[in-house]
Amino acid sequence: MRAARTVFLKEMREMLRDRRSLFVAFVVPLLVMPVIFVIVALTAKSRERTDREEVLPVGLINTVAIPGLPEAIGAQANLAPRSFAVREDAETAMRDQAVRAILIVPIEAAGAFLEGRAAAAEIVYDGASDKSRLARDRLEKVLQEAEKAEQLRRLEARGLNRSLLEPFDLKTTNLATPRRTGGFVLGAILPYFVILWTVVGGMNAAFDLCAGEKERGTMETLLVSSASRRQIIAGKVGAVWCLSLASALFSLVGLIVSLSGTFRAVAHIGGETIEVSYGSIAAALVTVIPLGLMMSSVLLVISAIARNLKEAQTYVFPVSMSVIVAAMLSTILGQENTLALAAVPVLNTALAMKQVLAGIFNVPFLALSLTTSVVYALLTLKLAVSMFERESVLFRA
Amino acid sequence: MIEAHELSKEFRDRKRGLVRAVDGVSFTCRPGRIFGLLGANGAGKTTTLRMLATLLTPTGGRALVAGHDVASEPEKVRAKIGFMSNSTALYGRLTAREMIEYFGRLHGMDGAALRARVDTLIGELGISEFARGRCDRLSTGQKQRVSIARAIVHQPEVVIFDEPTNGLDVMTSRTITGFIHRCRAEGRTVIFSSHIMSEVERLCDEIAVVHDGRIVAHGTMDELRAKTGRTQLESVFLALVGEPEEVAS
Repeated sequence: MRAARTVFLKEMREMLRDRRSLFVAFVVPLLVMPVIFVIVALTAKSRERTDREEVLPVGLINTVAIPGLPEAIGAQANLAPRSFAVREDAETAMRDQAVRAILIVPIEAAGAFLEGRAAAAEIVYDGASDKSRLARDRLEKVLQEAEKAEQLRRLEARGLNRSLLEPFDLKTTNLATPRRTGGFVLGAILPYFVILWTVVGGMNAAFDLCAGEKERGTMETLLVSSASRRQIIAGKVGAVWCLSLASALFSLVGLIVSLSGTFRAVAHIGGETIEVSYGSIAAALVTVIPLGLMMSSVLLVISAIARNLKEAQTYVFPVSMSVIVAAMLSTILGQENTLALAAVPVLNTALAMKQVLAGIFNVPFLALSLTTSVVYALLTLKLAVSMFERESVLFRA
Repeated sequence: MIEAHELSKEFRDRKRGLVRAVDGVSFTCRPGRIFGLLGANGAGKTTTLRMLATLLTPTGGRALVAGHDVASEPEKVRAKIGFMSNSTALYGRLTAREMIEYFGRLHGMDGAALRARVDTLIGELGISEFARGRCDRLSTGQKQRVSIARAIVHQPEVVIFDEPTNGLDVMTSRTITGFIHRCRAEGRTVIFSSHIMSEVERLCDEIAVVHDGRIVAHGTMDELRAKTGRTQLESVFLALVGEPEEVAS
């Protein structure tokens, strides 16, 4: 295997001199992802603030019929009430966006309310507008509060206790440590990105190492050396594997740094702290090792079949789509998975990583998922070797 | 020494069906002599040389290169040959020196012996001044010299050239033809292909004219002249492949 080592070292040296490959494999996962996360988090935060603070005009019709309701609405700093006499005027105002929602209390509601019956009320809103939905939610909340106050008043008037209506006094307790909560939050998105980078990180290099060599005319130079085809492809797979794992590691570091920064800000609001153990992260990386070998082999198969870089980029499309879908599925599925899922390539790694990050060590699942991943990796490696040994593949006219 | 016996290669082509690119070719190339394959584009020269270089496996016949069978001992054959064609390019991101060293290593050389051999080649081929330059920044002539060094770093017994001067200017071609002469002087077996008549005439000790995958004539230049009764190589060639000469010539 000395020739394989020679090929491996030379490919690594060439890749480390290729700025494009380095940029895609290291700079993007380490820096660009965090930047995107920070931007998304900041946008979400500012959005949340406007949602809370922006003053929305609402139209009121006959709300005076319910005692205390106009005052309750007036007390909301983020609502600007405006009274209308007839529904048509209010609806016209809503179409002109002068008001965002309308609360209508019919004339007969006053009598019903006072007699202790249900008073009719209607909220008019525009389901196609965010601001209108927000105004509706705020009006609903005011009405719910008023409803609660009226319930209490009516019960007390009859000498009854509130517990009549609320037989349960419910309290929820979160047993998860901050570490496990952190693992859960990270586990939801991290496998997706790490798996994506395991594939994307090695892609450029993989295409360069066969299709690129054909295109540049170095393939023949290499094939007439006394190294065997097997040794050459072994060296190439090794180099791509190395790069894809490095890329996965960099994306993990970038994500954890940016997520912990982002979540610290978010956690302040939620009042929860988030931690992740280094052990979990290391275990998550171990799960990527066989996946990296499998993807490197698959990419090199594509690269060997393709006549040039452009063809390789076309052929890889269905593969990258399947990987994206499988990785995405992991974000939807929970952490308690049936063993059958441990046999699905890519998805098994994503789920294993998710479990490990959440601190769940489901030994049969992890063992099976690791075993199947290794088997798939070896099968695809074998395919890559056999492709590389076929002259009809290497010398496609 | 190269011995080809009834060497054939068939391809399956989607449009044309089964194609016999090389059809029962036999010849022998001896050490210290230059053997030329002369033929038009598509005659089967490249396929023949690629089979000798073990890049393609013959579908019929057999060939021994430096005593090893190309089909059953491809790695042993490759250890004994230096191959150059216009599709054996250099790795752009390696320096000239790294390029030569890399192929030395692939041929199993190492340590001080490799370093000494690379130093010798760099000196002999005049590579010193750009040995540390990346291959993608070298001129065509400089690249050719590095390619030569790459092809012979392991002291091959047999040297195979496939249209080595195709598309090169006169100066660069001279580097190559000089090198071919040197290989003969050193007692190596040299086989090369070309469609340039004058080049073949100037360089070769023996010529095989290839047409439609077959060798239609074989011998020294004088033997071919005698056979056709013509003196101009171009007319000799056209007579051998059975094409009528243009009236003007």
